[in-house]
Amino acid sequence: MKKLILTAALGVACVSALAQGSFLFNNGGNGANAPVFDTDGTTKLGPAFKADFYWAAGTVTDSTLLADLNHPISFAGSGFFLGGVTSIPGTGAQTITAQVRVWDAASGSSWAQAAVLPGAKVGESALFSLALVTGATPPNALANMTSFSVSIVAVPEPSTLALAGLGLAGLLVLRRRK
Amino acid sequence: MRTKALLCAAALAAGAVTSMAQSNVYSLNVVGYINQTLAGSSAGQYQMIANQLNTTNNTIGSLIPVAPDFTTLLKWNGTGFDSTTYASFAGGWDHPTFTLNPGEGAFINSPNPWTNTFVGEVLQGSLTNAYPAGYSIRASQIPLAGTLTALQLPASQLSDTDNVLQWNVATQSYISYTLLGGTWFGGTLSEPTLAIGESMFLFPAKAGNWVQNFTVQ
Repeated sequence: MKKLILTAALGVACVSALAQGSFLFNNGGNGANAPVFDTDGTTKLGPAFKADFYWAAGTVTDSTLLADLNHPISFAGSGFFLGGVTSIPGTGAQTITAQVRVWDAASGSSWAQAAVLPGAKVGESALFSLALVTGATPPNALANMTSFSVSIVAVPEPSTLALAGLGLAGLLVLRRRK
Repeated sequence: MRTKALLCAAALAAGAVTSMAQSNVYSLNVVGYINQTLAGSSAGQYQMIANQLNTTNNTIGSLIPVAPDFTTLLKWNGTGFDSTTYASFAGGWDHPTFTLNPGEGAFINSPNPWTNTFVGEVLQGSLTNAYPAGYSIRASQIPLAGTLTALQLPASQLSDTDNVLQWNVATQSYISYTLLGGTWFGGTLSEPTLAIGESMFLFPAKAGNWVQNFTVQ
């Protein structure tokens, strides 16, 4: 009889193991309450903004190591996005490091595009941990995410451009002398 | 699950009396309501629920027209969950056509406790609830509490190692029951026992039909 119970338990475990790790891509509800604000720090973002999910397995502290899930969603309003149940291919039930990056949709189809566009509004949450679940376990929302505000991508100042130009000129001179 | 269910079997007996082939045919529709208390928690607590009163379309938008903001419903699709979330600032449910038919079930979580009143018709007759092999969320199609045997899903209809996962709201984890030799093992009771408005994960090896015969006398 013990064998049968073990077999049944193993069967359930196998089904769970085959599934992808999933979570609720919501920043409100189920323990999450992290509205995202505009540049003034008070206006909550609406449908003109998008959010995407970045992640890395385990615990990391360098945001450049995070991968883009490439699952952009529009904000529902009042600073909240409600992306629903979302899966991460190649993962299982594990804890990951996550970050939410947002941008104004008019500035590009991805955060990476908007982040290099002068005048675009972009923002990133602090890194936070998230427990992915599999199988019949109901998924977690972004309960450890904290609120943040977007900022405007700076337009390079003329003096900065001039310095860059001087640097280039110097390089050209060096190359000619050689 | 703390389901305080008040089933008002208010028989609105619409006695449609017709004369067909020299005999009288009577139609008795029983409508009622169930007040279902949903635990809710700022930390987000899940609960497994069921709709046990039939309506014209059984969509979430009609079954639960208003809910606390960020209330989320999860429905099993065979391999994972689909979700819909209520946000008043965005016009209500983001997927209002989500359905929850009698016999089906879903997870729900809300940021605070509240009570939803399900209103609809009590299904009668021979009611078939088809279930697949593998995971599915199932519930009684009629608003009754009791053991699976009392709800007309006896152990004899299932197979050895078939599994039932019942959600414990207090611990936010499953109570697992496994069937062996006609006896349920695991859990704290001798048999899985459902409250009114509660659903469960059923994990049988073979597909089958959960047939309930029910008539309001």
